Amino acid sequence: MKRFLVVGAGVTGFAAALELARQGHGVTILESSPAIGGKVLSYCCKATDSCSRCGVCVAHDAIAEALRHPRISILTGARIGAVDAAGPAVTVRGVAARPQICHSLCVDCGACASACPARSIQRYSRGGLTTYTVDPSTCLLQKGKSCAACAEACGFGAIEAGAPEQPFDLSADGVLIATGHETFDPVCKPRLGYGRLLGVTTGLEAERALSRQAGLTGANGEAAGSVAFIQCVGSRDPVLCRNFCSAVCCAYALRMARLLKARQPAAEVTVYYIDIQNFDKVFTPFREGIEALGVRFVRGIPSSVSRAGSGKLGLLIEDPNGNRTTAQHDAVVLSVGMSPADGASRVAELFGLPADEFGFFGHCISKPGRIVAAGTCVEPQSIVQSIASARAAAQELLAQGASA
Amino acid sequence: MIGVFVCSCGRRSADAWLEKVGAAVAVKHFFGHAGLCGPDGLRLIREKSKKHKLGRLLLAGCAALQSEALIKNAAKAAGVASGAVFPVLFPRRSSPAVAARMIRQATTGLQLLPVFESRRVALRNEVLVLGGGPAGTEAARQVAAFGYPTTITEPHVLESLTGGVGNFSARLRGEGGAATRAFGAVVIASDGTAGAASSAFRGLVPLADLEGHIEGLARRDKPRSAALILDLEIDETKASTAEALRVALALRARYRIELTILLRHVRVSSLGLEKRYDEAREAGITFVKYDGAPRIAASPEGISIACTDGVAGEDVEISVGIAAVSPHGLHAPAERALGEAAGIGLDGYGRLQENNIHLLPDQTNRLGVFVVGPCRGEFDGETILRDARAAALAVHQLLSQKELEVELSHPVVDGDKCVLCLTCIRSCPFKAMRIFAEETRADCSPEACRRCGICVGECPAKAIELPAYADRIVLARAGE
Repeated sequence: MKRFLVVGAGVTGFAAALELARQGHGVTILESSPAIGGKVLSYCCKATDSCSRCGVCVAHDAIAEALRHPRISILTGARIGAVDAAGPAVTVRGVAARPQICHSLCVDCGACASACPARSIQRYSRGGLTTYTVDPSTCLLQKGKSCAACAEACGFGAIEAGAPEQPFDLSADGVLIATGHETFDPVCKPRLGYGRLLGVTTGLEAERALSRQAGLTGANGEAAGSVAFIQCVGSRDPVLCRNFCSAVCCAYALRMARLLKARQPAAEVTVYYIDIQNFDKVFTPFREGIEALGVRFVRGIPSSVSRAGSGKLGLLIEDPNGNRTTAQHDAVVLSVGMSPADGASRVAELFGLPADEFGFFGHCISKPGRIVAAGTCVEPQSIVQSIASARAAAQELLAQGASA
Repeated sequence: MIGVFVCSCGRRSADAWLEKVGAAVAVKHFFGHAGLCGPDGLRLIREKSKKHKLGRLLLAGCAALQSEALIKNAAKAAGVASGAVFPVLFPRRSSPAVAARMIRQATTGLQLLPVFESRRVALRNEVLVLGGGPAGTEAARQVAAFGYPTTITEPHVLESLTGGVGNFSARLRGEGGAATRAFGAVVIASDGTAGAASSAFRGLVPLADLEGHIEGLARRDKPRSAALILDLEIDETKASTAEALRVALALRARYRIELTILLRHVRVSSLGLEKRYDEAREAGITFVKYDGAPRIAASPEGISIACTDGVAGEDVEISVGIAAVSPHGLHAPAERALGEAAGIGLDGYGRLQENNIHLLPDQTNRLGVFVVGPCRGEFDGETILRDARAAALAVHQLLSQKELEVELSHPVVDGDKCVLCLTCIRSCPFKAMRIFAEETRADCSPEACRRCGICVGECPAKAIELPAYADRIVLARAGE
């Protein structure tokens, strides 16, 4: 049995860990945030009467199976202090936050959440996947007080409290870097009105809204009858030094547009775009199907969003000839792109991975093949592509072991 | 003897709730536990099964109990076949009455359910890779690195692929006639057939040949302008944009040719591609994003292309000395022959493998057969290599088990009713149906079958039955 280390507990990290664990190896996943599962847990299923192949369910299944796997352990709130890759094994030292919840022992009784005096334990559940997260901003132990209420309440020994931090010293035969991504903060594009105008949301927020309710909320606080998707917010933008394509925004926007149209056929849905990136295996019929539903496609990205009369949002659109037109919508969804995760540059430095000018690792593999990267930290990619890249990376780590 | 194991996890007053459920169900062997999916749950299952000689287990709780791995582990702990373990999934916060009703219904069905035997299927370790392009070579190299004897051959030599996972019989055409060889797993990595420039686009050069074509012309014959046309019939991927940019930039630098790239959308969803697109525009390459179908005709200068510029919304006409078309934008001849020989379904483009999210970029409708590369519709070099590696790992995950335990709960065909109409063979998505050796009836391969029940529903003679869903069991459960 070999030991592998995975940095990042998102869908890529879990998918790779699962492949390695299935081969009989032990895997430790380090996660810097208090929560496990990553971004994918906040995405909604975008099926209408038929599946739109977004991959959210596939990701949930992989994470749920990995959480129950006896050879996979997870440390949340982990900070890596030092990495030594010079020896025969890669050693990684650091500290992990406490309380630490072991999800393979957790039986979802909720006793910890009820016992927590600061109400800082949150439960997430969907299908066969249930996770608990300790919010470090309210947790008494994290704030330096002595508290072990959750650990004492747990009848299954699934929570470790004690000191607020626990050092770890791990030695691994291979490391997979899967630090994932952050979404672009549209506040950096103030003219689009995000954070100022009611009814302007990011794609991620729209997903959350659609997983709870049928449609979106407009600028006047009522159900939106007309929704605009603005593509390439924070992508393909040389002014912001972000002249790369985020690859997934067309996919989620078009799938959401399809979902909105299927739920509310009377709603007007418009997609403002530069180029539609192709994503499904059989893309042309998929795109034509969306057009047939009545989703309108308009070339050109609106330069500003402002409050218009009658409780609507006014979009200013300039065509290449300089002609200005305006359009009014109830709600605007900004299809925000991806950036490398905040800690990615530090991880790159620690593990000696090269990163491009935007901070993505690209298709790089460090010399001995012991440290590989996969998922959205490599380049922006979809859930399914991330899982495939995780499996390819796992293969690479195993093949390295096989030939050594 | 049926044992009912109820998981009370996620409930506040678990003991009181369990007591109420137990009283309402009123079966002899009723056990409650918080966290049946955990190690303590398995221990309880092992102990109670041994003590009470339980032959069938009902595991009731949340959706976690549905996991195949968990059911296998529970069956192993109890020393019964996987088919004797039955999950019952409660809705969240279900009352004792609801829980008890669900358990009673399930036990009624379970009492009638036959206990299925299992069969161990040995997995051969030979692997066949069809296709010697980048995808096939990489897959073969990685599979061989895990120590499996690997055969690599051209895809068109495959005549048929019968048998099932772990023991496929591949009939391969050779110089001295066809020969049949046995393999544990198969990777199909054909380079595919990109659309041939059809007669409607006569006079156009395939994109890949454009550079060589211009290079071959005498200096005075070299065209002054060239057009590259993408997305003609179907939307192309980033791989085509990357190739068009590469060709255009090279021609521009070498021969100072005026270049126009016509496409519907610039597909740049790959790191660095957006910057290469900027570079191309700076180098003076013109991009026309067209709507509708462009009209291509011969002109005195060479070729004229008329289309609607989607950005400006105006009709434009371009005359160029030479024009190239990307074959990936044309409807390709379907991979029907290869699909039929290998028993793999086709997607809407006629490429291998239907479009299903649960079949990740290498898996197929046949367990033990994997498809990667252009024949699946993936043309980007980096992605092709990635998928080939993922397929190699999938082969290893499968074959490293050495043998597969298969529960014999597959559909049974009534030989008296079967009229050999072949409907089940046509309708089975997994190529699990075949004609019984003595040709008296259809028969199902338990390894390939996924118990979907389509054959049962489709059989016009009502000759097929899925034993776990036999009429009497379904009726008994519905009658509760």
